[in-house]
Amino acid sequence: MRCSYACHSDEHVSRRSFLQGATGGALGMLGFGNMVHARAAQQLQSRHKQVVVFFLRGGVSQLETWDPKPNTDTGGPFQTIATSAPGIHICELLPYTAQQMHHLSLVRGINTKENNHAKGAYIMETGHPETPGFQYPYLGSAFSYLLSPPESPLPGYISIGGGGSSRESSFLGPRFAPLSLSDAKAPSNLTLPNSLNTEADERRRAFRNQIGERFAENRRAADTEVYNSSYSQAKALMARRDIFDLSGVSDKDKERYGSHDFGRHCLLARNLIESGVTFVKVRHTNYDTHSENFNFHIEQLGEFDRPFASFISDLQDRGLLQSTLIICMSEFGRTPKINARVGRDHWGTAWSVALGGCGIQTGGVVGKTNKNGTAVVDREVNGGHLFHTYYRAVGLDPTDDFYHNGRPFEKADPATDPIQELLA
Amino acid sequence: MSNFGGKAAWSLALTVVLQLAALQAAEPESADKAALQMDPKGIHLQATFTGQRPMFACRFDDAGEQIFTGIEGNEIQRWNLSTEEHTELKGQSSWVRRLDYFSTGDLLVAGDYAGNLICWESASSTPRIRWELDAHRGYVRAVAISPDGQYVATGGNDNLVKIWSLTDGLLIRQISGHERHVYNAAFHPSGEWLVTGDLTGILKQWEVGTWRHVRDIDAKVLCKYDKTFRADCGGIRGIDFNHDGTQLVVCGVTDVTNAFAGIGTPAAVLFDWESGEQLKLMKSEKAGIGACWSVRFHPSGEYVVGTGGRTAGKLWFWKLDEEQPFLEFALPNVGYDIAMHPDTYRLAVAVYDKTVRIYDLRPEVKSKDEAEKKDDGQKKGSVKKVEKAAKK
Repeated sequence: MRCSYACHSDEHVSRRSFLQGATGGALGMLGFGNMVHARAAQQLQSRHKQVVVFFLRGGVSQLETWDPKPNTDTGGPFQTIATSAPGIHICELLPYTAQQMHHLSLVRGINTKENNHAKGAYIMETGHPETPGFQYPYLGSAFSYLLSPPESPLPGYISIGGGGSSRESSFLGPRFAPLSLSDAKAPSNLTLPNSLNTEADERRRAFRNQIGERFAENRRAADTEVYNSSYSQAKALMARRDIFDLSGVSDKDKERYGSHDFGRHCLLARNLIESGVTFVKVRHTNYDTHSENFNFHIEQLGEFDRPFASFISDLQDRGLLQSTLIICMSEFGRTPKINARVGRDHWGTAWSVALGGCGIQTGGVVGKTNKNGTAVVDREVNGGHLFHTYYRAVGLDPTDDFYHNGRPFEKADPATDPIQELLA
Repeated sequence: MSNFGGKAAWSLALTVVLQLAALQAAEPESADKAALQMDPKGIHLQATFTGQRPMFACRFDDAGEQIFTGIEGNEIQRWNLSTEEHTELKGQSSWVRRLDYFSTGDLLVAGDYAGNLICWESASSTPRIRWELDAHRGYVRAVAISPDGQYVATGGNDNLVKIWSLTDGLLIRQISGHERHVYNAAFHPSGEWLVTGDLTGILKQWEVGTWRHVRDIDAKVLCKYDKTFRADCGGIRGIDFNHDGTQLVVCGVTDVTNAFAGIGTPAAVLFDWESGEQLKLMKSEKAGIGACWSVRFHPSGEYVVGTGGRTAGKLWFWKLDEEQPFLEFALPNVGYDIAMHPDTYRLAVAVYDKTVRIYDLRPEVKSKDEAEKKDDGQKKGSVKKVEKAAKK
């Protein structure tokens, strides 16, 4: 879905001018005057909140992570271990994470009723089921839009480890689409080519700006605006290319995070959060274990556990955890029933996510599944509840609307509400 | 112990060979009968024992009177083949994937996925634990008893091979060398060597006693790193020596196209033991139907039999000089382990449908009454068809 603020519609002139109140008059005429001021103040308060999503692609098994059921017909071969949060036990495949559980809370009663990868991911990343002909902005784009400091030279949303599409920002415009890094490397061309000195580069930029402004006089569109701004953003990013530089990482940190891709991705995420990037998504693949679920979870969680735990510990040590919301999610969980390939299949009916950091009451569990994990028996929630909770956790009002072509679109499903027990 | 027990296996194999020779020399008609014993084309179900959970491992005792199974649960199941009496051996802490048996003292050693190893005195009506220990960090995947009953070799997810005293469970040696999970182990019938195999398809030969590393044998065809899923898929799922120790067979999955859906081709790799040379890569007739989870030489040495599958289960019978099975037999679900009965013409399969099934490899012989009933039934069936056709 394209952003259409090219039409000079006031609600989408730009986020910056929106914050400065330029749209107040227009929205005031529509009867939203008070809301504009409240929203602006709220956003200013939330400006320095950051978010990191760990997306375990393919559907991590809740039974091998956050909601183990040992010694049952569905429980699999693994045992549980105690954690640093009294009374909370998780699967033995997460021994390092277990030591950070006092910084996390678990939601064990998720029922998204969706077993399709793409549709499940959409629910978890937008808070809504798919709607024909309309796309809600993804969490990363929405929070980039709502939380990024206006003058920040940094991209508001960086996606590491594959994935990340320009469509994620939907009507918010391409400015809030993710900068996708397939590996823990800086985007290419962050340094000037040898044939170009700084002075020549400045002259080149000035000429391009002049031409660009003339072109935009009667052709202003979201795409052209983001095209122009991408040059200034690129320049700013070139000046801050240090945020992608992992050369200064200590040997001890390299050992803690591991030499594999996911470890490097987590180290990069740490750098980015320290540098002030608003939203970072780190993808870890792949958990779609229809066959040999247990062997593959040993492999995948063996890679995931220590870097994830180190990341949480490091954010805490740096004083960043209280302002950074941590979300560990998948598109769905996996079936309690173990199939003949010793695998587990797709399961959106009763599964879990982990949350921590900013605005979250940690060390707790909300929701409960039955003895063998086949149904939620207490405090059932869905993607909508989670989105309300994310918004509240970073100090934003989820009942507030986005506007697209003058039409309001809810940020979180109005049929749901926040998981209050989780909020600090 | 590769098939059904060290020295017992040697003597039994010898007996089989001698009996065959004697039969061939004495009377041609009896020799034909013996040959039929070795031809599995008449395979048919003899008995089914049903438990509460899917079955992963099976072993006969040396008398062939009892079958033990490891299950997707914390018990071992025992059935008496004659009386069908069922006993649960409770004490394991997780799923039991590997069992081995030694005749003296009727000792059954079982490794579970919680890392525990338990030695059961298995013959009595209420089997008791002789010793138990915390053997490995993570799964115990491999358990093998040496032919002389002195050692138990285990392998696990800590990438280690450990040697224990069968008598008292004392740790004799801890062996490093594998870089990935150790999936299987087997002693050479001579008792001089131990072979262990890991996730990546690397087989390691160790000298029994000194436990020095002798050589690696390459079965990497049974492992693939899946770039899409960023994980290794494969491993030495089954392992066995032939009766005289001249050949080694291992099995697993090859030609993997989708690791996480389990789409690959069941395969067994036959090696010449002396040279370590790969003699044959044997596959299922159809590609993409899963993995071969267990493989055994028939005591005659004429063929190997494997079991596995993906959504449907199979038994594959491969002649040693052929790549394609000369016989495929459908199981009701995926087979995870095979045990040869000491009588050489029966085998047990641990099946995922919560059963262990005993198959007779000889042609089914029906009594006269049964044959007549069948004939009668077929005739009636035919008549019904005719009647239906007439009504139409």
